[in-house]
Amino acid sequence: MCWERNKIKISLVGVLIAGFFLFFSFVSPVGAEVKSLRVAYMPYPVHKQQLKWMEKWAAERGIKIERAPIAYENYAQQVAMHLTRKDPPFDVIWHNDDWGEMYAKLLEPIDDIPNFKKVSPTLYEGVFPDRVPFKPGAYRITGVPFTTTSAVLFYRKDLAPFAPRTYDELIKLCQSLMKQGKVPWGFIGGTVYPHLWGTLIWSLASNNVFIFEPGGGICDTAVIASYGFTPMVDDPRFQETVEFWWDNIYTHKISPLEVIGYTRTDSDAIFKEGNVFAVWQDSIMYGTFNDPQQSKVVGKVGVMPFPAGPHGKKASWDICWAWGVPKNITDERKKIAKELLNYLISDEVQIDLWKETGGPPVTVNVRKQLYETDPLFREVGNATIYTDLVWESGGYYFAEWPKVMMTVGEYFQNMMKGKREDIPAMLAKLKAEINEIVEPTRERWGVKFVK
Amino acid sequence: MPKIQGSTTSDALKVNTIYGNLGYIAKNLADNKPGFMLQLVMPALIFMFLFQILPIFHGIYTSLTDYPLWQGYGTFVGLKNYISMLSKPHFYTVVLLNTVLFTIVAVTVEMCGGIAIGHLFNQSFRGEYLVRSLLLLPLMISRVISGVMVRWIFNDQYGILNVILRWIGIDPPSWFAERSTAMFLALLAEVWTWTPWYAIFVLAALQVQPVSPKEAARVDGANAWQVFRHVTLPFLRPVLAVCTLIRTFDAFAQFDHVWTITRGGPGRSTELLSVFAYKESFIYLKMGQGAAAGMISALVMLIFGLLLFRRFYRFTYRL
Repeated sequence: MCWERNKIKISLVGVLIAGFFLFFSFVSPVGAEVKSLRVAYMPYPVHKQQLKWMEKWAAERGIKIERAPIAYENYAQQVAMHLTRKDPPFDVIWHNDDWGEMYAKLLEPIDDIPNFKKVSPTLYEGVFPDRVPFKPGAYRITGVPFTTTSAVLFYRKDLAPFAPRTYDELIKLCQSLMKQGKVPWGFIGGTVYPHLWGTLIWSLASNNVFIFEPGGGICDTAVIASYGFTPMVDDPRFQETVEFWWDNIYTHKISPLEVIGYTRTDSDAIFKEGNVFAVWQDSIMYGTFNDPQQSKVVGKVGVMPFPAGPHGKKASWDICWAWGVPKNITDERKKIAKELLNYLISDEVQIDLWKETGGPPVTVNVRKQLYETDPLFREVGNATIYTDLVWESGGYYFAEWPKVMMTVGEYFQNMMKGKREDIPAMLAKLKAEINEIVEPTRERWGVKFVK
Repeated sequence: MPKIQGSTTSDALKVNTIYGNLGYIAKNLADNKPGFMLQLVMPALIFMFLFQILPIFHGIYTSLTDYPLWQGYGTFVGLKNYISMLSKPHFYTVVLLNTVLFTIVAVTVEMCGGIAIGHLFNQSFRGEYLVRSLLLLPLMISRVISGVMVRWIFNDQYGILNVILRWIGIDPPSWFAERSTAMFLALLAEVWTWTPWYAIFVLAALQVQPVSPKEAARVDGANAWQVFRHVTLPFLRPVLAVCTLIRTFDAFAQFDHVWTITRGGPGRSTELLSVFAYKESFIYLKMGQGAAAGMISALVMLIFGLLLFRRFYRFTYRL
């Protein structure tokens, strides 16, 4: 009887023990031969091109590439959560400039890989450093750049007699084309988080102002920290830029009010449909806009740098995208992952990246070679990486940045819906709110509010 | 548990020899031993403890910490997260208000629509089974997909509805740029998804409704509305009470439609409690504040649920 009664208990304990063994056999492959590499990425054309080459490289070595596609909207949180684990489920992750501070301590330094020396340092310094505040050089780089994506103005070159170089030219051209009935709308971009770049943020940069001091296209966290993370949303140039958008909607009527509800997917779709003259986007969308399967404006797409605001210059915003290796994976996996990343910045892969996707390469020699031999690269390059002024860094990458960006976006939406004369008061309110948000950032960086 | 008639210990042992554990279980059930009962429910209890109770306590603890997701651990800060959240007027004037309004409007419209559709389909017609099956279609579609569908249908440039409106000479509103229209779209998607759910339950109840009370009412001179008001509706009350209770909890925690359609915008004007908690946790990566928002949400829902439960219990009990 007693034995019978204990049978159930023993069975339960047995199942639990077996479960634990099974669980740990999956999560602790210590010392195991590396037979697969797990890659976390955003399903974007440039990433898919990279995966194609990753798989080619891996197949030659009998390794399998396991793909883990994650949407941009969910990427930061999912990968951040996994990187803090003792055994992350990824060996290679897509590393964006947006998450520099968050990921820095969780990623392996990778600047020791051989091909890294071919990459221009201006592309990654200040973007992916495991940085110690205010101690230049006291850091290692944690991202292997594989392409740059420049923020550009895509426009319909079949409709425009010239590419607009300033806000004024853009407005007049849009109005003229709309009056002739050639396009329903003139100029749009993404606004809804995290796509605020496509409307407000890049236009701020074009007008030589930004969310934080010192303005312009300066996004190196250390530089911003040296200014005490001081918001400059009450700067007259900031207000002027917000009013530029308000006027586009209500005065010049070249942008629909719905622009405040667009994601970049919405604005891309409208541009591909041929319903708008110009859209702000990452340069890597060039291939997609010219894909006959997806677009009605194939062969009609021109690309150019930002039209400059009254205080701005002709400029391009050149953002570096990279791959990273988690710190908490085994040494064997790190070694193989680094070999793979070294291969991805070889000349062969970099040239293919450009040919297949329109993503500009990162190595200096390939850029030079393409500029001399490829007219299309010259056109895109002149609009992006070879403009008069290139900000070769990315967005902000301190931990409170997502909240700052979302809050600015929400205020921007409200300002666009409100009266023009209410904009200064709302900007003052926004400044107070940003100051509150970045207080923990200041504490972490040991800096004080300057103004 | 009642003792099985005529069973004895020796009988049970015999069964045990033949059927092994099955007999052992049968015997112990027959003897009504509390310890044995505990053993039977233990796997379920362990499961519930691990995957329901423990996460709740973990959530409570997380809500008392400052826990950035990218850091991997949190430091204890007491009630700071709660105080910070509850001291913001936005929490009451937008988040809480939106959530309560969204829940009341969604559930009310769904219930009325469900009763109407249930009545409409409670009759014989050609293809009734096909139509009833099609009624369930919205429930089979993921809420994210229906949210995206609404987003595209109402797109200002090529959304089919705006195209039709322009074709007949009506200037469409800026659907996603105004609080009222954006909230309307989120509600529309929610109502479209869940009204059939109500309808199916109402239809099932109507199919088993006795005919005699209705006939008696008609004989007494009651018109159609009076029959519905005084005979059918009281009959439906228990079903409606259970459906409303379930849907109220569900609508209160609604996230998918609002997030895919409005993302809480424009500005933060259509933010619900669930969106608020999601943003804190997974956009701002502040797990502590997100957990605190979740706890407050659960507390509000609990109070709301208890009130509803008391009210509905009375309905069902009366019958």
